Amino acid sequence: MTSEFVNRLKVCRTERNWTQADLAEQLGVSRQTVQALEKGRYDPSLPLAFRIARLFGRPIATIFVQ
Amino acid sequence: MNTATTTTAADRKTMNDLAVGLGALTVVGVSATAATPFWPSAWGQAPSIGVVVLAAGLAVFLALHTLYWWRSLDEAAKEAHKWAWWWGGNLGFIVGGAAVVIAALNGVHLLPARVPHTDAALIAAGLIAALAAQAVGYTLAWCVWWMARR
Repeated sequence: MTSEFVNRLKVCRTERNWTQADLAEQLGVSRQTVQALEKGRYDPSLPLAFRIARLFGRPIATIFVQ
Repeated sequence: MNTATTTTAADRKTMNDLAVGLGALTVVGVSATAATPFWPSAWGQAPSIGVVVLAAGLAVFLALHTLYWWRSLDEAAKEAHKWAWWWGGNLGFIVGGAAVVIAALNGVHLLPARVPHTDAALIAAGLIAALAAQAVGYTLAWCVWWMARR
């Protein structure tokens, strides 16, 4: 149950000293969803991927890498 | 496991309004004791207006509450429920249905002894068994989906 993408979500989050709960609140998702995203066990929809990219101020391709 | 996300203030207010509405309906249900007019005699004795209003209101309340609950979930939580509905519900139905048939063929009494073994009772027992099997399958599948993504 692992994604074919590698993501740098955890790196981006820890750079800002955010907890998973902090990130979840800002994205409007549950903490369990953030955990699944970080572990690469759930691929976000395109709208959620854009929200993540916008939140961190980076292009999607630098966060989700194939 | 709490997978609900932050409900919007508007949705929260609507859900509160719904709860108040249900409370008002309960008062009507208890106090309006007159028989429901235009009730077909073939359906037996007419229930009170209050009971009919309460039942209809409860159905609307459940439908709207479910709608707002669904809207409060994030995409992963929705995906978990959809996956559990399909795989858990179907596999639960198949396994549960097979278990009921096998049990019946082996002479197991599916109804309690004190319940009259009428056709209607047997059909109701089958429906309840199917729903219960689907509910168990759904719950297990939902847990599996989240456990696989921890």
